Formats: sequence, structure tokens, C-alpha cells
Amino acid sequence: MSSDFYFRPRSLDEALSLLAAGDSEILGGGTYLIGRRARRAARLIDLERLSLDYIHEEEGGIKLGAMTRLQDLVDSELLKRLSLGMVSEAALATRPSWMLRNMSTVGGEIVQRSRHSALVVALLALDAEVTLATNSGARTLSLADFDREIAVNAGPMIVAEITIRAPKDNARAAFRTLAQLPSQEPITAAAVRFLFDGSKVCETRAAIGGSVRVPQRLRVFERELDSDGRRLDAERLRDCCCTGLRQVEFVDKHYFSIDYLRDMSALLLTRICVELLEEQDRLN
Amino acid sequence: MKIQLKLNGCDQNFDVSEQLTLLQLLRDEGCYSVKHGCESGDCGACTVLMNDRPAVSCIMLAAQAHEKSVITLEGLDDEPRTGCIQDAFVNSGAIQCGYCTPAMILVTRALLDRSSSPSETQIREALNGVLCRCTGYVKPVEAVLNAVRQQSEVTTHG
Amino acid sequence: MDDELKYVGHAVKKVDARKLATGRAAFTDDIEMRGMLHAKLLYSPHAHARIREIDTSQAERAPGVRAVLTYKNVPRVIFSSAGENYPEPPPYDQVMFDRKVRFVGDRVAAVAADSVEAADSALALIRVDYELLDPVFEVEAACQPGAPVIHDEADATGIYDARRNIAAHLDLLAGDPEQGFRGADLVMERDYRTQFVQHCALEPHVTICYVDEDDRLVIRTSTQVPFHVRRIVAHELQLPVGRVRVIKPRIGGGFGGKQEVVTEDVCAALCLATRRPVRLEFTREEEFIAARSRHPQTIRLKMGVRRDGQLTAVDMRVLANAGAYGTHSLTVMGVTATKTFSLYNVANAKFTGDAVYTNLPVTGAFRGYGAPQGFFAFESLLDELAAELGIDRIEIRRKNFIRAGQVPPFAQIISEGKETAKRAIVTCGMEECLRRGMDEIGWNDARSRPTGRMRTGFGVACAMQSSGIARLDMGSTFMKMNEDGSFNLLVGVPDIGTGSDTIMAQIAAEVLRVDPEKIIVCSSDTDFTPFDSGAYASSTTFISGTSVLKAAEEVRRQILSVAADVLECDVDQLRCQDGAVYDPSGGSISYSDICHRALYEKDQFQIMATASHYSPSSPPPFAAAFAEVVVDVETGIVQVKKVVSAVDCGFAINPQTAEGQVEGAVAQAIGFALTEDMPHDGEGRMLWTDFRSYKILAASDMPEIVPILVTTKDPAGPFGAKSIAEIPISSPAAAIANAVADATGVRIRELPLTPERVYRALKAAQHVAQDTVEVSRR
Repeated sequence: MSSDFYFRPRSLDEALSLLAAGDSEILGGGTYLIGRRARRAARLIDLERLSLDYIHEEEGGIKLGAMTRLQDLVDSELLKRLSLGMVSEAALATRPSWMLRNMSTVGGEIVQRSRHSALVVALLALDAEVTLATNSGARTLSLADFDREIAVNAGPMIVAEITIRAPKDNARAAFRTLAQLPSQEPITAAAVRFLFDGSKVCETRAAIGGSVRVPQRLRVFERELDSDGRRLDAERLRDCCCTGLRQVEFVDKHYFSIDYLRDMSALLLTRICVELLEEQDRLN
Repeated sequence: MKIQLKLNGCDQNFDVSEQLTLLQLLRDEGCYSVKHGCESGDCGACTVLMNDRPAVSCIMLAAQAHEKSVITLEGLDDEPRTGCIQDAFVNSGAIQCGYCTPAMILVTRALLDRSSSPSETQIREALNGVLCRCTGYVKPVEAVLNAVRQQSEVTTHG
Repeated sequence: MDDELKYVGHAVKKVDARKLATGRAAFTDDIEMRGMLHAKLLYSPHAHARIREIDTSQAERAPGVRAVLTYKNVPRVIFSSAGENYPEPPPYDQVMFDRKVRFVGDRVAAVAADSVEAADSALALIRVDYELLDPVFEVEAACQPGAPVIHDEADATGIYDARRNIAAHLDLLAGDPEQGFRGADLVMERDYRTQFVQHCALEPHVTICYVDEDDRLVIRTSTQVPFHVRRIVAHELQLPVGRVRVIKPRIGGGFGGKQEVVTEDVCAALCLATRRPVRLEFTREEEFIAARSRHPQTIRLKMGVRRDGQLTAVDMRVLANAGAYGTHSLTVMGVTATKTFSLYNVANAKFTGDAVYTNLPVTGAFRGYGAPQGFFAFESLLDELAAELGIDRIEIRRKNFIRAGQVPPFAQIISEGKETAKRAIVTCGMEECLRRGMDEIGWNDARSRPTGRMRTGFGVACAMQSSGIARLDMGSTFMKMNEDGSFNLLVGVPDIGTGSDTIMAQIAAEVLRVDPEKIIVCSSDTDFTPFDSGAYASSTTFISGTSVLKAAEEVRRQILSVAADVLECDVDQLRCQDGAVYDPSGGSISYSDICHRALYEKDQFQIMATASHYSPSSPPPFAAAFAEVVVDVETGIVQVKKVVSAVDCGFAINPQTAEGQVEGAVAQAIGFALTEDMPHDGEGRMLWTDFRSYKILAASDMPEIVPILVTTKDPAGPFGAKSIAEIPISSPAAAIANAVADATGVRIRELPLTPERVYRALKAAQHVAQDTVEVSRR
């Protein structure tokens, strides 16, 4: 097969040089690029041959190849064993269609940072790291810094691998959505991870999606919760949500106003936090 | 652009235009069971088995099928496991206009190959990617449950 | 002949099920024709504009382009695209291509080219100079003086008041409503709103046209109305009807969206311009922009009621959104009025309706045809009245619904603009629908949960529809026998996925006493099958089915006459059974032998019959829907847990396909109630143009649906059948809204019941409650 449009490079280097030639787009599963949503770049670079679809256990965590299909995340026993089940849940919520899960890739979800990518929300809360292949070698950074990296670095780069550390014994995490119908895109999605010291929260990671333009970490909310290690009750949680979400830019969609999305995001975060705290209390 | 793929068990070569979708290629080749219902992969009417996994062909380039195996309902005819599912759909009244039926049957086939006794919840989750406007999914889900029952009877009775 | 029914009343397998289950090439697009061209349409990007100039010269020269059509080279013929009986109800306000565009998605040009890509590329080369006009999108604004006039063309006819953008108007009056309100113990008036929703048949509109060897135009198309398509396209192209043939293959759903000429006329025009086969298939995006949808209605409903729950008067005022063209506007409003008022037999009733033009996509026919909107309002207000009076919600309905023997108030009015005769209801199974539905949902044990975060509620709503349009819809059949004892059954009525071919086969099989597999059904082809109005107005079983019954009876008579000759016996002594004829002494002759004799051996003739049927009456089906919902009061998210739909369809010829109709209609009604809409961006551009945004329910979204078929055996229908195609869609949305009110105490009068709407209504109610507490504290 030879073409000026569609390529299947055999190595990351080959892929990078194709990208460097300009007006090219990486093809993962193609669910964002082909069809009526296609952005017709002059060249499509299919990473199919790079054997980037794997889920490996490594150093107390998981390494996902960027071409891992969302369905493989849903099926993975390894994820469940390492208490990373919320990644599977998030993959399900991202694509209720089995067919689309068989096509969408983790790398594709990260690059697209679609408003509704529940998977990215879960990965952010788990402090996932992304390894990029570039012309000057591989570079690993926090997923939370990916936006900044794209903005700052103009050179060709390809998401190659995602690393997730397995949660420690004193960690509790959950991913939840609010949706009108199970197969519908969520109104809002959130993931929270608490690191506990006894029954006190000593570190928080929180992320939301669906109600905002791109899935994002809630750093202010995290700081609010971490700030004094006081016992977290419903009232304190409400205050933290209020302060934590004040600067977040919610984006309305038809039938869901900014105010409603803000209220629902706060509600969802509160519900998740309460759930995690109660779970910790029960086991202590 | 020349591509080769295994279509319904037969190795075939095609010379396709670059922008051709897999759906268009398959229909051009007479696989009419694969249908056009949308252009975003959301309705599932264009479902095929790509390397044995259900995928939607309207958002795939034909080129993406190069060196892969593509199976449509035409390739599963005369095959008892599919026949059992087809019978169940026919007998349960699960087919109204029939436009989504090939996709439902393909998905069911793939589901039952993975799991011999899925729960109703799992069946509905599997069928989420196939939209139907005629049936409310009531009888299609019953049909799958009936097919599961039939298949387990076959295995127990040998 | 009241022996036990062998085929009718049984879940006979659909005659087309096997080919559909194996994915056989059966749909419109499942053919390839040599030299076939592909068509694409150029749509207006503006909601309201005049075309100053259009230059297609570059497009015409583009590679692979074979024809380009615009207002310049297509004769201007006024028509209505509505698939209704001739003469179609007014207005006639459409032309194939106009010099004015009236919505984003209105036709500007059409291209036929060697490939879809070539056609698409050519569209981009068409230069159009628009003079922009002010658009109007709200019905209230559109009918005010000074609003932009959408239809200012000189040659449109039948527009009620073009200056005020009123496409159609309807006034109905029965009794003395003023007096009725004076005599009421309680009068309530409320406003309700329903939204745009679309059919979303999985198969888009698709047409393939070609000119045959006799120079006749052949239209192979996905339609519910082949004969209306033939007539309307012939009219538009100024051809005699006899030079046009319409073929209906398997259809991937219609629901009213294909009761319309949407693609056929322009595809045919391109075919005639090129003398080549032409294929035009809508994308899903084009469906959401350039097809048809349900009329949104704003309904002001006023009801007067006595303390005992008896309705004394009803006044309904409807503003319907016609979109840019009138099509079905008049008749849809008629159904809104007649079904609601007739169900409750209101003696003093007033209806005023205006269908108003706006610069939005065209509304048309959609299952229920005005009744879902009307019953949303009616059934909601009945619940409010019941609550105010302290009367049980079932009792207030029992008090008022029409009984057998009574004459509905507007029965004589408005069927496609014509008057028909007053007729009493003969069968009404509403009581049984209510009773069995209540039982299934556990109505009397049902406990609403009025406190806490997740609140359960139960709701009920009733509905009525009709079975065909009295004195208007007509269906006919041609049947002939073959020498193996099989029969060709050629019916004009198209099976659009409902299973009507199977119903027809069952009816014929029952009359002829043969297995339905012996009946070879063909539907429909305007050259070979006799006339039928089409698959709409719930007329198929009732009207077309009766024509099959009649034809089969005549064929049986002929079979018996041959048998009588052979068996040397009186016809009255003979009995048909299992494909043979028996005499009392034990002699018999098979159908096969009978037909051999008739075709080849003696007094040769073809055993065959034709029959037509129309009905002076339209016995209504009745339905009661019950919904159980759970509302999360912190988010406003409504979860429907269960819907019970009990339907008096007279008699279910095929209980399995009948249940299928109920289940599918309920699914559509839930979407109507909760998620579906067609919002625009403020400038008339549709925002939701794919299934990602426009959410129809998927398998995991469905609640438990329980269909209940109630039998009343109406004497006017074949084997007592009335209809079932539309009625189940008209009440579930109201039942759900009523259930939400039951769960939360909050009444929402606008569809869809989005989470934020419910949430805001709950918040508002809380504030009222708090204020009340504040006031009482002071």
C-alpha cells in the first residue's frame, strides 16, 4: 500500500518525521478524525504498526501504550487487581458504545482532551504521567501539564505511553458522573483521590470534565481540602467546593446553564468526597 | 491506493480512493447488510467485526482495514451460532423495519463469543452502540436472552 | 364464520423477518445501477433571504458534473409536499427551487455528478448572491404586525393569512363554552409548551430515479406514501401520472417523516435532466436540517369542572410552529383538537389554532400527529384539577371519558379539511385499559416517596387516536391464485417496518384457510399494486386490511365454485380447511388441483379478485399509560423506572407486532418527554445535527416497558381490529410529567423535562415554601 495521504510508519522516529513534514495528523482509533468531524489534514499517520497497545504492570503501577483501546481498559483484570477500577469505569463512561470503545485509544483521548472525555478526568485524579516521543528523545511529564506542554512546545510530538501508579494502601479514589441517561454524555464528571493519615485527609487530587471546556485538575479545591487537615464535614466540603470552583470556567451547553453546571459539579464533588470519607471511616 | 484485507474470510485486493470509508467500500462490494445511518459512528448501523471486534465502519477509512480481517453479516451466514441468533430475533418479534438488525445480530454474536451467559444489563450495554427507533429494544433484548438460553441448551444436550 | 381463528390473533412470524435477519439487499439503496449519478443539494446558509443572483457556470464545468438545477432552469410549479389525499389541504406554498430561501437548509440548487465527492465539490463552486432579510423564529413574534413576512410570493395559494405568517387556522366550536365555564365550580387555565422533535428513522431519506425503456420515470424511494409521491412529483414535473412509477422497497422506518415528498422530486428532476439513474441520499446531518419534524405547540388550556369532577367546558388555544412551509399544519392542529376533546366528550368546547410560519426547518407529520402535544396539555391539567378538587386522578378521568354509544363532539369535523358524518363510538376499552394498567403498575399500592433525595412518583395519562380517516383514506388489494396453492397478494399499502405485510398475509390466510406462508405479499409499486392512501393515520390494518379481507373472500368464493363443480356439491355444503376444500361426505380437492383446473383444464379462468375499501367511520383506539419515576431532587434528573401502556386496539391481528408498536412508541414518547429537541443558535442554524447531540434512547436507557393489549372487537374493523400504530405515543410524556409532579409536588408544563428545568422548579417551590414559612412566622 503506498499513498501520499495515509501512512503506517513502522517506528516512532518514522512517525515523527512524517509529523514534522507538516499538515499531518496522528490517527489513533479515528473516532475524532474521520467522518463528518474530520479535519482534513493532508496526511494521516496511523500508529497501528507501532505495537503501542499494551497494558503492563511495572514498578507498582501500570504502563499503558497510547494505542490501548478503551475496551481493553474495561476488560483489564490487571487494572482491577491494582485497585485502578475507576479507569475502567471512566473508559465506559467516555464511550457507552462498545464499538467506539474498540476504536478509541487512550492516546487519542488525551490528545483530543474532549470536553466529555471522562477517561482523562480519572487519569488526572490518579496523577497519571504521559511519555511523549519527540525528535530530541522521550520526555515524561504529568498529564496535568500536558496542555502547557502543547502550548509551549511547537515541535512534533507523539503520546507514546501513559503511566499510572497504583494507589497506596492509604489512598481512596472514586470516579462518578451525573447524567440524564446512562448512555448519554455526562452533565458533569468528577474524580477524587484522597490520601489518608488515619481518618484525616492529607492529600487530595480532584478533576472534573463534561461541564468545562477541557477536563482539568481542580488545584484550588485540592489546596482548600489540604489546607489544615481539619475534619472534613459536609459544611466544610461545601465551603471548599464554593471556593474551589469559583475560578473554574464552566461552559454552558444547550439545556445546561453555567450556574447549573457549577452547582452540579459542586454537588458531585461533595457526594464523592463524602463517599470516600465514609468508606475510610468504615474501614478504620 | 492499493489495500488488501480479508473480507468475510477471503483475501481480497482493492484499489481505493484515499478518502473512501470502509462503509462505502463494503457497500460497493455488495455487503448491503452494512448500512448508512449516520456519519459519526453513533448509530451502529454500519457495524462490522474488525479483527473479530465490533467496530463502526462509517468513521473508518478503507485504508485502516489494510491487512486486517473484516466480517459482515454476509460472512456469517450458514453458520449455526449466528443462525441461532437470527432465529431468536425472528421468533421473538425483535425485527421491525430491520435496518439495525444486522448490526444487532453482529454485536450479539460478538457478545456471545465473549461470554456465554451475559446478564440483561450486559446485553443492554453491548447493544448501546446500536440505535433502534422502532422497538424500544424490548424484543431485541428478549431475543438475545432467548438465544443465550438456546445455546446453553445445545451445549448441555450436546 | 366464528370458528376458532388459526392465524389472525396469533404471533405469526413476520413475512420479511428472514430476509431482514440475514441482511439481504432489500432497502432502497441496496442496488447498483450502471451509470448511476449521485446527487447533492445546496442549502441556504441563511434563515431568510432572497437570491439576487446565482451563478452555476463553474459548477457545471466541474469534473464529473452532469446537471445543475436551480430556480432558473426548473419550471415554477406550486405544490404541497404533504403526503395527503388529493386535493391536499392548504396551503400550497412550495416550489422545487424558489428565488427566496426561508430557513437554514432550504433548497438553493441541486447537482448530479459521477460521484458523491464530485457533487460535493461542485456545490462549493456555485456562487449565490443573497439579499439578507430579517428572520423570525418565535411563533408569538411571527404573527405580530410588523414581523417579516415569510411567504410574500404572489402565487402561493391557501395560506390563511400570509401577512401575519399564519399558514393555517382552525376554529372549532361545540355547545356553549361560556355557559359551561359559568356553571363550573372551578376554572383553571394553564400554558403548556412542546418542542421540536424528529423521527430519527435509522434509514435516512433516500431515492433512486431512473428512466426506463418506455421513457417512464421510475422512482425507487423510501416512502410511506408511494401514490401521493407519484401524483405530487408528476404535478411538479408536469408529467401525466401514468408516466411515473413509484417503487417502495423495504423501508428503514418512517414514523411520519416519510409521509412527505422530501427527496423524490428533485432526484426525479435531475434524472430527467441527465437521462441517467440518479441517487439522492440524505446524510444524518441533512435529516436534522432539511427533512421534517413535529410541530412544536404552545397551548393555552382552560378547563371548567364541577366539584364532582365533571368537565363543563374546555377552551384550547394552540399556536403551532409550522416552520418555513405549511405541509401538514392544518390537519395536525385538527387532530390536536379532535382527539383530546373527543376522549372526554366535552359538550362545551372551543378550539382556536394558528399554525404560524417561522424561519426554521419544516414541521410535518409525526406519529400521533398533534395528539401527543394536545394530550400533554390536557392530561397535565386534568391532574392539576384533580389535585385542586381533592379528587382521585383516575376518578376524574373515569368521570369524563367517552363511553360506547356516545358521539364525540367534533366527530364530524376536520379530516384533512373536510366534514364527515357524526358517528357514535361503538367500542371503548378505556375502563379495561385503566384497570389493567393500574394493576400492572401497582397503582393502589404505589407509595410516592415525598421526602428525601430520591423521590418516587406515579402518573397516569390517557389518549385516543383514530383508525384511518373516515370517508377519505382508501386502500385496495389485488389477489390471484397460483397452481401450487399459493396466492399473490398485491397491496397498495406500504409496509414501512410495522409488519403490515404480515398482517395482510394473516388476514388473507385466515379467510382462505391456508398457512400465511402460502401468501406472497408485494407492497407496493404504483404500476402493480392498486391504490392506497399510504401508511399513515393508523389506517393500514383497519382500511387496507379490510380490502384484503374483501378480496380474499371473493377469491374463496371462486375457489369454492370450482370445487363445487368438481365435487358435484352445493357451494353451501363445502368447507375450506388447510388449503383444501371438503364436502360433507368426505370428498375433497386441494387448492392446487383447483387452480390447475381453473388455469389449464376446464372453463379456464384466473382465480383472482380486487377489492377496495374506505370506511364511513373511524373507530378510535384508546390508551392509558402509567409511569413510575424517581427524581433526584438535588439534581433534577428524572429516571423513568417503568411505563405501562394499555391499549384498546380492538383486536390485535398479530399480538407480537402489536406489542412491538407499543414498545417503540413508548420509547419515542420518553425521548419526547426527557431529552429530544432541535435547538438553534439564534440565527436558525440547527445545533444538534448528529446522534451524539440529539439523543434518542439507547438500550441501557430504557425503563421496563409493559404493553397490555385490550380487546374490544369493533365491528367496523377486520376481525374487530381498530389500530395501534400511533396511539401509544400520545400519553407517556404526560404520564411522566404527572409522575414527576406526584414525586416532587412540582408541575412542569414545558417539554422536555430537562434536569435543569426540574431543578429550577424545585428550587422555586422551596423558596415559595420558605416564604410561606416566613410569612406565617410573622
